[in-house]
Amino acid sequence: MRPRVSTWPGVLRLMVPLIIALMLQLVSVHFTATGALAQSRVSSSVIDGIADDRARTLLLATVRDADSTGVPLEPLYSKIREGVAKQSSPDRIAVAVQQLSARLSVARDALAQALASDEIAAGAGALQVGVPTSALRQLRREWPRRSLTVPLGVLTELVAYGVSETQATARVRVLMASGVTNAQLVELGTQVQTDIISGGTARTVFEQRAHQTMSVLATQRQSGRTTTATPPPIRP
Amino acid sequence: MVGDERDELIEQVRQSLAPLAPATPHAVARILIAVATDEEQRADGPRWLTWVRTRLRAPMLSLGGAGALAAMALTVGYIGRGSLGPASPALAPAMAVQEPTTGEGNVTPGDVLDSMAPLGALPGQPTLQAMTDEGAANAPVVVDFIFEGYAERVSLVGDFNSWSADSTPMQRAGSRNVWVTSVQLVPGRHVYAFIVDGERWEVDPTRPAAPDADFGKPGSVLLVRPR
Repeated sequence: MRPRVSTWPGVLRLMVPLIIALMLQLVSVHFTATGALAQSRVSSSVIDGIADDRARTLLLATVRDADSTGVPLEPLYSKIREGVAKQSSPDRIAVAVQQLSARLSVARDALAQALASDEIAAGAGALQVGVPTSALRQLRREWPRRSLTVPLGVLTELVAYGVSETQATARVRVLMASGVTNAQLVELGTQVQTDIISGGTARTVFEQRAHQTMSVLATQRQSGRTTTATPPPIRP
Repeated sequence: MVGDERDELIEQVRQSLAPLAPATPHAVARILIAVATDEEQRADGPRWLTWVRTRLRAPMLSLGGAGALAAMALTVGYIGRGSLGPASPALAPAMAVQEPTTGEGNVTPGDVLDSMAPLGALPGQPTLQAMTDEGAANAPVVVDFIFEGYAERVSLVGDFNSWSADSTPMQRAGSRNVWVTSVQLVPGRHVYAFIVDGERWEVDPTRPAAPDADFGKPGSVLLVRPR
């Protein structure tokens, strides 16, 4: 048998992997650039979809302003799309986006160290139904590490359904301090919704359901069952 | 005797089957969703191909992946050349960066827990344990949406898909006027509606209404419970 002799020069053999590496890098740069371009195009295309010049200018200014102050932009784009989907007038969309931007800014400041833009959006939703800024601040102060997205969502729903913001905020805070899980909070909100739809008074049904949840938590504590909630904050 | 025993057996089977509830449209729709999802997954090809596609769609991960392949190509080149020495220290950080430990692609709840559990188990890291709890609590949940009514096409819109009428078209379930789709939602409050035939706005009659102070067109509200 004849020994196999490579016909490739040594330098060429070394170059092949380098060429492959270079091509792969070029491909990756292409993907990265395409991704970035697509992202910026999505942003501008949302506003470009608004036919009215004045409203479009106003929207652009609002979004740029929000961007410069660190307010999350996705909720603003979502609001524009919501207005378009609901066939609202451009002026009305522009006003709604301006108002949302203001709420997001307030919520962002109140929920300092917000864990995600979802949380800021949930805070803005709570503000819209009438939950006071001080309640957001209080919740963040007491729960600096827990995501407040779900508690704020439930709070928003309770207030939207007629429970007073003072009563709802106070009870939710007590429940959270007692170790309520997000799942239990959602369960409470859903039960209150159902009760109110069935004809109950918001204040009464909320009190009843909140007491029931407190009883469940007390039973869990007595039986030594731990919840998956973040433990209550330690107060000095 | 044998005949009696058989009769008893038949009677037991008959009794166990008797209380089965009649099929409701919602139950049928759920089965159809499961079948459709299964078919979609099969049509997508083998799992490894899906994994590669997912990674290629994420720009940053593709950069890391390309870097990994480049490093591998260089290593193979050196092996082929017969001069493989000790690993170059310059390559080590590159390899470390490629590990998609916190990938943001199609991360499943299981992936989140799997990737965080070993970290959470480290001693002296209570914040990581808290993060694991948060991760589990915020893991997306699959929610089925059903619309009943005559339509040529139906889309699901909501805060979870930026109210895009093109993002989540619903599928007709069988020959009846039942439209279904499944969406992964993070726990919390979500507002949604159906757009029928590209223009008609419909709320979900089975859910509470969400008042709309901005545009005056209420949607339906859903509180998604964490797993």
